Amino acid sequence: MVRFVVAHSSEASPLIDRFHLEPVAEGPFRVFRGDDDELGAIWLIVSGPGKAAAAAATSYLHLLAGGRMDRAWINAGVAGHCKASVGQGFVAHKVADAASGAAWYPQLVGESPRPTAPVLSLERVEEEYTLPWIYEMEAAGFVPTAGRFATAELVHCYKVISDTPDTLVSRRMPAAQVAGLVEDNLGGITELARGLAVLARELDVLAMEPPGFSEALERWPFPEADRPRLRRLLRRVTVLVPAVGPQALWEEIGAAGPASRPDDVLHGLEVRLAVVPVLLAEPADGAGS
Amino acid sequence: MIYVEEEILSHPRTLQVCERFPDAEVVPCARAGEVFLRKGQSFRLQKRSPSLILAKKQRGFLTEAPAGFGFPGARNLILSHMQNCIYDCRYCFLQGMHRSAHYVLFVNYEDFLWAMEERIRSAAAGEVLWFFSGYDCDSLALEPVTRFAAGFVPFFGRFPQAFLELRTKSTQIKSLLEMEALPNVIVAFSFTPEEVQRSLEHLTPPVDRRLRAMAKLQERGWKLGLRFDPVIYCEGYRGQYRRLFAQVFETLQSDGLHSVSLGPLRLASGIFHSMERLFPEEPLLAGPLEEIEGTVGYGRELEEEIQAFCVEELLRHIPRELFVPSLSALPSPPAPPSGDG
Repeated sequence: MVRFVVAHSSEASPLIDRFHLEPVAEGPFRVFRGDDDELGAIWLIVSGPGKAAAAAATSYLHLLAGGRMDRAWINAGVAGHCKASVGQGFVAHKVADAASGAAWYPQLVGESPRPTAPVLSLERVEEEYTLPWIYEMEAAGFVPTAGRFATAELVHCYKVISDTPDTLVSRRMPAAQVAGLVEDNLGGITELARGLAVLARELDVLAMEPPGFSEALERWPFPEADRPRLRRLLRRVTVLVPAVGPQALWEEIGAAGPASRPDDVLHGLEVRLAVVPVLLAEPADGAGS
Repeated sequence: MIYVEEEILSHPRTLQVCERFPDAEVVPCARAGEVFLRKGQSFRLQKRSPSLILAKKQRGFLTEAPAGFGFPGARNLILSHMQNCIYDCRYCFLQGMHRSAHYVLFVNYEDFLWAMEERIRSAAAGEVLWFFSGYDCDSLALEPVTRFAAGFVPFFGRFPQAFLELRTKSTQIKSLLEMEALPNVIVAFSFTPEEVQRSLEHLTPPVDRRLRAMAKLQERGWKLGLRFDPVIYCEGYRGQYRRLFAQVFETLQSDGLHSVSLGPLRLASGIFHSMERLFPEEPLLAGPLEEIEGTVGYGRELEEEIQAFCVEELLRHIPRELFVPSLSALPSPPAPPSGDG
């Protein structure tokens, strides 16, 4: 359910350890994969620095991981800030591309696990932080690219401050220390990933075909044009007559016989639904004002 | 999180709204559309925790109501100070209208009022102007934040020839109770039976609380409207609507009512299909709805049956002259929130 895009191996190693990820196949990027009880399948790609690399790695990972839409995407890494303390973690609420001026607004659903801040993606390393933004080099490549594969609520950037005007740490710091900063933020990153995985699962359920749909396609030669109608009728059956399984349904509508045709199935479903009472869902909690 | 267009960061209403949420992060944006209209957003996920977007309406402060919406013989105009609603009614076209569930509040009320004044002053002789709020949002639900009623209702004291309908399910009536009632302002409350309200109108106040709010307004001389719109079909709907009408007219005096209307469930087919994709588990949307010429609603026979029953029941409680068959119409397609995208 979760895909991580990180620029450097030093940023990746705490995540690889935390989620027990294993290297995947050789290729243009280093890719790792693992399974987690809560987060499901986890993928991680080491993109290298910069927007273009982040965008390319995001696309590559999307395809390598099976091309499934609406997975949770997190760009994690270290960054600079004019005021924040070294080691502090932030979730981006705005990502701007310094070169083009384009801006994106990652959509946080619910509480952010850490404070939020705007992120400015630059072409090269900046040492003067004039704005109270997070300065880095990947987010503006990652966000719009991942946004093609997942809804905005599932695409986020988690940045750990490594550089401030007083301590330009990341360029001088040994890799182990960069890894240490990310490691100290594993709690926040995991919490973010967990929240996004819940949302991704919700969308997964919505995208599922209704029960009986694939069985119907195997059993009857439904022309492409009739499939949306079949899908809608079966969705309605699932909601209004949830206890009936596909086989029982075909029998109930008189389509179980070998001579039945797609039209008989559609007609049978319509007739069946016409006599089903509409019972509204159980009341939701809470009242407004 | 409050998104604010850079142009109105220091607008007094922006400051007022932001002051109410001292802990909220203010995120400047060039245009509301950057957040609100961006592709690839999930209305369903965002509705779990929507943000406020403060924007400046650039043009199109008033729009002609779609054919069939409003009072017959009048010039019916839609006044949308806000887009999206804090409530979550499963039958509402707003569920399928926008990509985003955030609330866009246009803070430049002064421009709306100026446009309204111009429109009233340029009205033809004998032209009756009705301004409808509550089409793209609930008129009163966010009143403590928006101060919409407090800002717009007094305007109608200066222009008694024009009329305003506030459409709401809310009990946020403090602003109205603090003013003198105006004869040309109607506060119209929407109702469905309790069972429907509990199942489909998430986050709304229950029927009895709405009725108590109406009774208070009626005591203070406000003219009220009742909008049974849309009428929802489900198992047992007759008993539900019979009980609802009895409950309503036990609480309210019918002689203080301005109008009572019933509206069928009608959705533009594109919007309906979006709603179905967003909420495939919703029995209402899985019910006996038919698509005819781009509109989804109960089939003609069922709709006529529901309508006939409800009209007959209603007329047991109110004189016929109060009854307006329907004030509703199909929603317009999505439009940019700030006029220029």
